[in-house]
Amino acid sequence: METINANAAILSNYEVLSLLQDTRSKQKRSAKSQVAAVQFEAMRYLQNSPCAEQTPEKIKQLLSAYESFNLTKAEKLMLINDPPQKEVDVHLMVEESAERLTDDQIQEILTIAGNQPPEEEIK
Amino acid sequence: MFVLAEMTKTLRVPPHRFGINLNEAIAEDLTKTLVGKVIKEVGLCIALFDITCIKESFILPGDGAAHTKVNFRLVVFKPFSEEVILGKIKNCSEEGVRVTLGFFDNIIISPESLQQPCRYDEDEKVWIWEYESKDGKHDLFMDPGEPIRFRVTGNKFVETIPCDSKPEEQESSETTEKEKIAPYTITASISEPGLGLVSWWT
Repeated sequence: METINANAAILSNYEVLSLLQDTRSKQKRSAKSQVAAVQFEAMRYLQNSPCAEQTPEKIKQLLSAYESFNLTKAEKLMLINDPPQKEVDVHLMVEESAERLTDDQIQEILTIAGNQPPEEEIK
Repeated sequence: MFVLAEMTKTLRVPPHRFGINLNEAIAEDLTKTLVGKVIKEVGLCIALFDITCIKESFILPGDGAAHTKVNFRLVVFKPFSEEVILGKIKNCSEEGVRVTLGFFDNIIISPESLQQPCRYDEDEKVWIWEYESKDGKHDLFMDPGEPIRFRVTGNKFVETIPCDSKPEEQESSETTEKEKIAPYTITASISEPGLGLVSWWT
């Protein structure tokens, strides 16, 4: 076996979770084949993480909301996989956030990350 | 945390599987052989994402099976450097704190990468962060099972296939030990504000 590209694309946790759920439902329908332990455990980890409540639309919304902050792809991915709840979380995920973001912008990120789900429910 | 990796492999489809659709036979074989395995420098394989290309099948002299070269993509677990991830403490030892994600538990935080100053409690087998605030020193325990947020600092792959090490005879005694070494270890750090036990920062 050879590797063509070890890092073809980065996947968000939501994408992995939906893929695992897909394969499991397919397997149930066809053979009795068991789900591998890693897949089961990975699914359990992901189901207990914020991505379990995400949808493609919500992720798109988040991404466009983060557009204006000049964040890198990896930073946006972390903000989506593990939405920050406090200022310190934003500082962790965004490199040199003190210089790149103003306090207001950090607050804005927190509202985007934190308020997204309730807002959805109201709609 | 997860990335897509493009791979290529020549698969052998034995004659008794000719009745099945080739795509399915290949997908099944790849899933069976690769899921749950660590691929060196690529990561821990979680699932088959898709098959991008199936080339012509060949039959080789003396073997009734078809050999088919396929290109496919795998979902692998390989966090990027500097990624912040949430896990759970598995255990503590003198070598540091081991963190588990459920499906992967070779995440090591070495004593230097813990919050400083810290100490290791022999009896209770836990690491303790001696947090100093205005009103004195607080001992913050790192008990197993606690959710912990950490930053990935490195991915280490080790060749674990026991090969007869001919070049250096001295190493032969070590190979038995080496077999136990995990093929993939992630080193992590929590020496930053915001990192460490989730309960510390609430």
